[in-house]
Amino acid sequence: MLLPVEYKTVIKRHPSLEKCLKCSVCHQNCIASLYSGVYDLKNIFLFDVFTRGAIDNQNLWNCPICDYCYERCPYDVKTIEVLEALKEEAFLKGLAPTSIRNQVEQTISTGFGFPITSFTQTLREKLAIPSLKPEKSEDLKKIAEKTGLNGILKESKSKGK
Amino acid sequence: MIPIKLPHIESVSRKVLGNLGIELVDIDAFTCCPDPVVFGAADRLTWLTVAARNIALAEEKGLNIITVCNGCSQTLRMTNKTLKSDLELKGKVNKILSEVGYEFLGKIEVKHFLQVLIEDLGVKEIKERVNAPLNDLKVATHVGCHLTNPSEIMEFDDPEDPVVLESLVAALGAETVDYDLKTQCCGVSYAVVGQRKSLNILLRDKLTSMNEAGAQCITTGCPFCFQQFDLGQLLSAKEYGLRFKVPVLFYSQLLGLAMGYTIEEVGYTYHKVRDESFEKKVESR
Repeated sequence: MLLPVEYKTVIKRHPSLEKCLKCSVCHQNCIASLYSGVYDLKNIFLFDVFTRGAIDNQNLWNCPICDYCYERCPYDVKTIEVLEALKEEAFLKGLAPTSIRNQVEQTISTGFGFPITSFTQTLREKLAIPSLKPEKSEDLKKIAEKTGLNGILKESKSKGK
Repeated sequence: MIPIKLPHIESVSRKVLGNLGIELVDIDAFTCCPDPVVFGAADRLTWLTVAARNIALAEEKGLNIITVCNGCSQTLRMTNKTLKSDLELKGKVNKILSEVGYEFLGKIEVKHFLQVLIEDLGVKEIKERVNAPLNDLKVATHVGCHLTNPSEIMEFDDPEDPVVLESLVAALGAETVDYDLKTQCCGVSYAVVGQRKSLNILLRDKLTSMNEAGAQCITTGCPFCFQQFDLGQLLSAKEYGLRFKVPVLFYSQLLGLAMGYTIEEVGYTYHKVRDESFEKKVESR
């Protein structure tokens, strides 16, 4: 997944990046960098954004948005805002993993983040808690139409991504 | 997550919060918050608008919102604070919301149930409701990233040295253990993108750290973290041949045990990771 990113554009959108002294504290505290094997905050943020102009790290979504890069940065660079913006840009361009798109679609179409199974309904009945309607509301579909999210999801689907 | 995948946690949470005098009002029209990790990063405007709709629903009834999930807390608190301070964005969101008949006003507060317990009830009140203290039980607390970070939004605890959940566990008579990887994220995003191998390594390290500190169980107030330490522990243990088990209990389950509910009544029998020595300890009180 290549997401072309120009230094000038990124700095314009995220002026706090200019304070970054590349001290690597964010990278040293990044669990996605430590464990994933395919995501490296040093490359995705420190080097790619500043030097190469293209994000060639796979799997931006290994980042759990734990915010420790934000909390521990000594210079208030707001790293996480850049990462979230990159994820959003990738999603809008149809470059997010299928599992990400499916979860968003699931939420919009039913109002629930996960599909309801008969097992869930049976267990809820056994526990004497209210049952769940399979579809919560049409409101989310209308909201997604207004924001353009529906269009993005349809386009991604038609491209087979 | 909880209503669909962990309804036993919903059930025990309704019971214990009710016992503490907290009246829970169901709002049928509530939808998924939506989650801050996947949805929040995918489309910020839709995420804010759906969250604002949930807040507007509570505002119509003049009620504050209490959550039992770190992700829900973060989404709703971030939306609440952002739209209260960014009037232009609030206008943009309300324009969309008006199409479905709602308006975000910024009149209510959103708190995680642990925040309600510590701020609105207090440790003393909780101690008074303990009928079966969890004496000598050693608990590893995992507060979870999305309840502490970003700290200026969540206003719950110090992300570097969280102590609130520890004090809530101590109120039940139990003992907390300090362990090296206490503030490390549970790695939920790995599960979403299918990075099972990486997740197994992360969980192996975190669980080993807890076990080496002497933990007999884990507690958390986040269902995603819960799943990592339950189903995730099962999968990691299988891959790495872990020779210990550290069952996880949601804080409301621990509270339920301390109030006098049985292990079955708090829903422990639905867990994937169960440990006989933990069960004996709890049942022998």
